[in-house]
Amino acid sequence: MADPLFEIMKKELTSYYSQMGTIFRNGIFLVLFGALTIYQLTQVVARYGPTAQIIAAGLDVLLALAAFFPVNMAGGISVMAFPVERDQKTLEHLLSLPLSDRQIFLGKFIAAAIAGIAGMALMYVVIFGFITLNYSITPSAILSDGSLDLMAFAICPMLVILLILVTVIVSSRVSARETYIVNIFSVFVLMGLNIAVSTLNIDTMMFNTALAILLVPAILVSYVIGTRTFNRESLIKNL
Amino acid sequence: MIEIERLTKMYDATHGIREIDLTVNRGVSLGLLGRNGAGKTTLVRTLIGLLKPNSGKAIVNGIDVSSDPVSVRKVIGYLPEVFGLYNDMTVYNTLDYTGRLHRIEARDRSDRIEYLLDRLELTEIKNMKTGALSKGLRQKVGFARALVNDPQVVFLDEPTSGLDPIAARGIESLIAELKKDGKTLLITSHIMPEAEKMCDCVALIKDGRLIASGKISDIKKKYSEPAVIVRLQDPASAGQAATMLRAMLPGVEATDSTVTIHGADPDKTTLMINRKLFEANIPVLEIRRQESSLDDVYFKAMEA
Repeated sequence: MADPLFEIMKKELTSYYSQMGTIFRNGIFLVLFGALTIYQLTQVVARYGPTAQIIAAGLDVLLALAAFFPVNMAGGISVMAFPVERDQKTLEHLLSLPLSDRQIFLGKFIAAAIAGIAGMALMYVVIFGFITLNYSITPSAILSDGSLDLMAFAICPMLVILLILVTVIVSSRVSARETYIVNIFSVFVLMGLNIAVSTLNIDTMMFNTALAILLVPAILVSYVIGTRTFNRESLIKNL
Repeated sequence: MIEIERLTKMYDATHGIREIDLTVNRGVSLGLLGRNGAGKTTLVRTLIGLLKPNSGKAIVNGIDVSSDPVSVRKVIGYLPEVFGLYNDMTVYNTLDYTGRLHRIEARDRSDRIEYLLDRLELTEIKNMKTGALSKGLRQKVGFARALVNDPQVVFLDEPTSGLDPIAARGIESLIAELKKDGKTLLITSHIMPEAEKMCDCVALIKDGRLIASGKISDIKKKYSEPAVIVRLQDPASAGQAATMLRAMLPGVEATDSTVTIHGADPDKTTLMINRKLFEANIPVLEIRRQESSLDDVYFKAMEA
């Protein structure tokens, strides 16, 4: 018998992706952020030439912009975590089931994290697919850059997970509207990162390494805060 | 079985429950009665471990709620007063999801769900989305959901609230069946006639305090104004009977063929009244204690 946290996770994902509105909205965001990232990349390539090194350097900065999409996608499911349960009056019953606080919190968080990571993978397919088709440069040639590897496979996923974690923690305390605001605010974090990398004259490898190292404790601290401060009583009081 | 000892849960200086002592034996249905805001829901939420008590002790089915709330939630069923269903799920999937969260094995879960669907007459709509159901049917699904784990103790918060009389009667008959199955029930309500039908015992809560508890008949006895009703065969003799009884007892009132003696203890006066009327040759149909409704008793207890 599967742990109930996986049942919660499965139910969250099924509910989220069974709505036509969700698929439509995510499709629009994928096209929007994908097109924006690709447009900026073509500007870089037009200026410096279509080589694997130039594209890798461009993506080093632009992947943070592309991460808007997965964060937004996971934001939708994070909002469903608690505020929607509260609005549709299903929360009290869920809390009355023989589940630990950890199972409820993790079930909700993992569902949002899967949505976020899936969104990120989808965005990579779009970007690298465009590069392969347009410039005939394979992803393996681009991803031989250590700094970009860090950005693509460590920083962006960790950033997405951190922002989702924060959204889920916040969602257990506030309304759906306020959770959306936090989710939108998290986009500014990504935007700040994007601007910092592109405008400051810094060594991207060093910057990315430092950021990756910083993100690990940030995620752990957020996780501990999330699980330790998850409180049925405050959830019930807010019903 | 539910055992509550000096249980206190205060939200602030005035709101909450204070020093509640109560026992509900196995197979008994107890009606928790009180006004809105009296503390009924707070007591239920504390008993199922959703709220942590400030002090006192609560044992549900032999498990201490404060030290092991998760185990308590394994053996209870709960129907909140205001509850929702996942509108995009079918009736069957709603019950199945709850069963999965209770970690019931697939085969047992499927058998249990089919049994509940059949017993609650939901089989025909089991593949319908819950969002498309009427309030009465949603209440039934909520009820079935509370019973998926075959709980030993069932908490029902205002189970008939907002239902039409037919749907309410359906819920009442389900509660009767649960009682037959030996389940312990704690039902909150502020609809007295329904509580009287559904419960064996009642507990009255006022401003967070338990003011009375026990069998309905005992509570009625305690809070009813004692009165004796004498029904006469001949309405014309009511005046004569009243005059005669007034000489012995205060509070005698005659209407049609009935004489009511307010304040008279039926246990002490019935024989005497019967003898006097027999001696006066006034034929009597019956002499009985005046029955108060739970409604009357409730108001009296709340005013006290």
